[in-house]
Amino acid sequence: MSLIMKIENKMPGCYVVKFIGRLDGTTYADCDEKMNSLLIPTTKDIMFDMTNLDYISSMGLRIVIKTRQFIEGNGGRVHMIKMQPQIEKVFKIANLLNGIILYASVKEADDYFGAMQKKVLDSLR
Amino acid sequence: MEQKPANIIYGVDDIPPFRTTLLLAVQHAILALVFIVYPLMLVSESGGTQRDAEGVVTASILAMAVGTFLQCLGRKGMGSGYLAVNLTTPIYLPVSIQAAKIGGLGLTFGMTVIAGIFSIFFSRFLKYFRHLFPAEVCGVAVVMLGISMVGPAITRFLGLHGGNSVDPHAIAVAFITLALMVALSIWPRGKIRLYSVLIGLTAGYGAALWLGVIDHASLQGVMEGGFLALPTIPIPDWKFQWALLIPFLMTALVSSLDTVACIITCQKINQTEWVRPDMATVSDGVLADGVGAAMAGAMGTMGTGVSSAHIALSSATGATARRIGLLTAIVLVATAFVPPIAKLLSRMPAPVIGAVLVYAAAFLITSGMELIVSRMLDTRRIFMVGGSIIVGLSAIQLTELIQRLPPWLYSIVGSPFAIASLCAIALNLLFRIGTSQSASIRIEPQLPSMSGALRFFESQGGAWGARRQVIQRVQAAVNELLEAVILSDLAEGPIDIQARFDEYHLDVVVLYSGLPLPASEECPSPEQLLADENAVLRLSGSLIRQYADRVVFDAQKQRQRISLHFEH
Repeated sequence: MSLIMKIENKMPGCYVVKFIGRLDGTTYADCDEKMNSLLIPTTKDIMFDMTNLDYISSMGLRIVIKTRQFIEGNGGRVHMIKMQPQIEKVFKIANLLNGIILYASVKEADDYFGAMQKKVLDSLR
Repeated sequence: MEQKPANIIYGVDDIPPFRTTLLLAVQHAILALVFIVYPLMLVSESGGTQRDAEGVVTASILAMAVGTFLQCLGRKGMGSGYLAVNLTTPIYLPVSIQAAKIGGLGLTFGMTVIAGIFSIFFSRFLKYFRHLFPAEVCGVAVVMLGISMVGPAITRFLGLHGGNSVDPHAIAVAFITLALMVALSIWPRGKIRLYSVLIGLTAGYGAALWLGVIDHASLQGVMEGGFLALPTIPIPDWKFQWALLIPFLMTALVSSLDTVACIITCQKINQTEWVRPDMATVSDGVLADGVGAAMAGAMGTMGTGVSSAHIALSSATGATARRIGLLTAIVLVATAFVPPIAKLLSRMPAPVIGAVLVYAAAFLITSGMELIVSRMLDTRRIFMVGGSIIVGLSAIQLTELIQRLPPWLYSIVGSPFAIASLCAIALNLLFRIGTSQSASIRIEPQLPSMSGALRFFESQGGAWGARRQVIQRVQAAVNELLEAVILSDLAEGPIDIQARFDEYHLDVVVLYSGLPLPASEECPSPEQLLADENAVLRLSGSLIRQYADRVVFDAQKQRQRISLHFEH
């Protein structure tokens, strides 16, 4: 009944947050605290890896909404990798899928980051 | 209307084009005629004459046709209505040989009529015994159907002679047959998958001729008597003997259980969201099985029953339309007029038969496993499933010991399928003792208590043998509900959770003293969710309504009551 969060800094201002387990009322507070540390002005992209998230409650949804509001207000985007069907259903009910970039796999997301990194490097040359 | 699974090209109610139906029917008929070997074994073991053999072959073909037609008919209470081909079943072989040795073939046929009539009576009472066949018990039966095929399959596949030496040519023939059937079931695009077994059988027969696995000389007698001939059946000299009544009734019971497992497999193959056996269809299928067996005895052959190999074939090829079965019956009748076909197919090389049995066993074992894991398994159920399979496997391991048993007991214990199924039914009944269909838990209105409530449903789900999907929905709904009540401080004291389960429903009632949970059906917008605390409660309400099939919010004796109803 726990939640494991793995945060990876892909490139400056871009984070991948991997959820493993359940994001509900019992795990919400800890998750919220960790997410708050990422919600700073330099953060432009956050990618939630939902592959191993088994359950999300309305409290868990609040974290996603809060993150989205901050990142989009900061001129960035929120991305999501592969949601399990029951999680996708909850997002649909809460009408939260609009505006989120969805990836079918980790590889697809990595390709996106790779292209973005190349773009940044090219602009620096 | 049953929802057709993605891997099924022609579902049970579909009407494939006539040419496709005919080719598929021929495929099923060929596979059926291969198993004419069982009545031939009966004649040979009982010292019958060539004339007896010819009569029994003709009677067997016609009995298979009648049984298949009745089984696929599915009208006015007769037949399951699924594509289920009937064969002269090996289940009847031991008692049939025993009867023939005591009183000649007439005694076998007479006793088979009695056994068929018993199955007819049994079918009328089957619907009252639905509780004996939960999904995991059916799963054990289907797994054992597949495992029972492994011995005969491997012996033929390896061309085993006298126990130890294997025949490399036989292995080559079996491998070619199996490889073709598997490859054609997996890789080709289009509808060639439908004919994978037909192509495999033909290639296997050709390879057997080429490699000398079957003797060309053995095929010489095929055309004796001409290409076309009117089927003739000598009138059997039916006899009855009290001493054989119990063995034949037990055999009929085992055959009926085999049919139950086969028809449940048909239901599962044809429904994407199979939940539990439809006992009305099963009863009608067992009725057709009984009528078919009685008619087989009346016509002068051993008992017939539904062929699990054919069900596996229909699943593998993705064609389960009942029309194919009805046409198979007509094709079988037609072959009775062409004796060389039956003769040729009854000489089907053993390695080719072995390959078909391996192919069919793989499908049945997997299908049974799917049935077992569709339900949550607690320690009782784990032991019921594991213990029953061990008992079935022991019957395979201890063949020599079992052969020394009295014939009436041998007909049950000698069949790994029968003994495992009976063991599963008995253990399931035994382990029901002490399992209440109602349960409750009281938790304090604190977040850490929520995990206790979720574990309560996990544990009860296992004890009830509930569907995992349903329990997951219950846990999600209760989690959402408790989270809303606890985080919004709605409860002023402990929260009571009551659950009641039967095979069709799961009802959960949550009771607490305090403020009511808003029963709004409207889902708040993302902006409202961040701005307004009550909006989270409204979202919880929306999610709970989505998870449960019915939700009622009311109050009882000054306590708030939320009733969640789940279809099971």
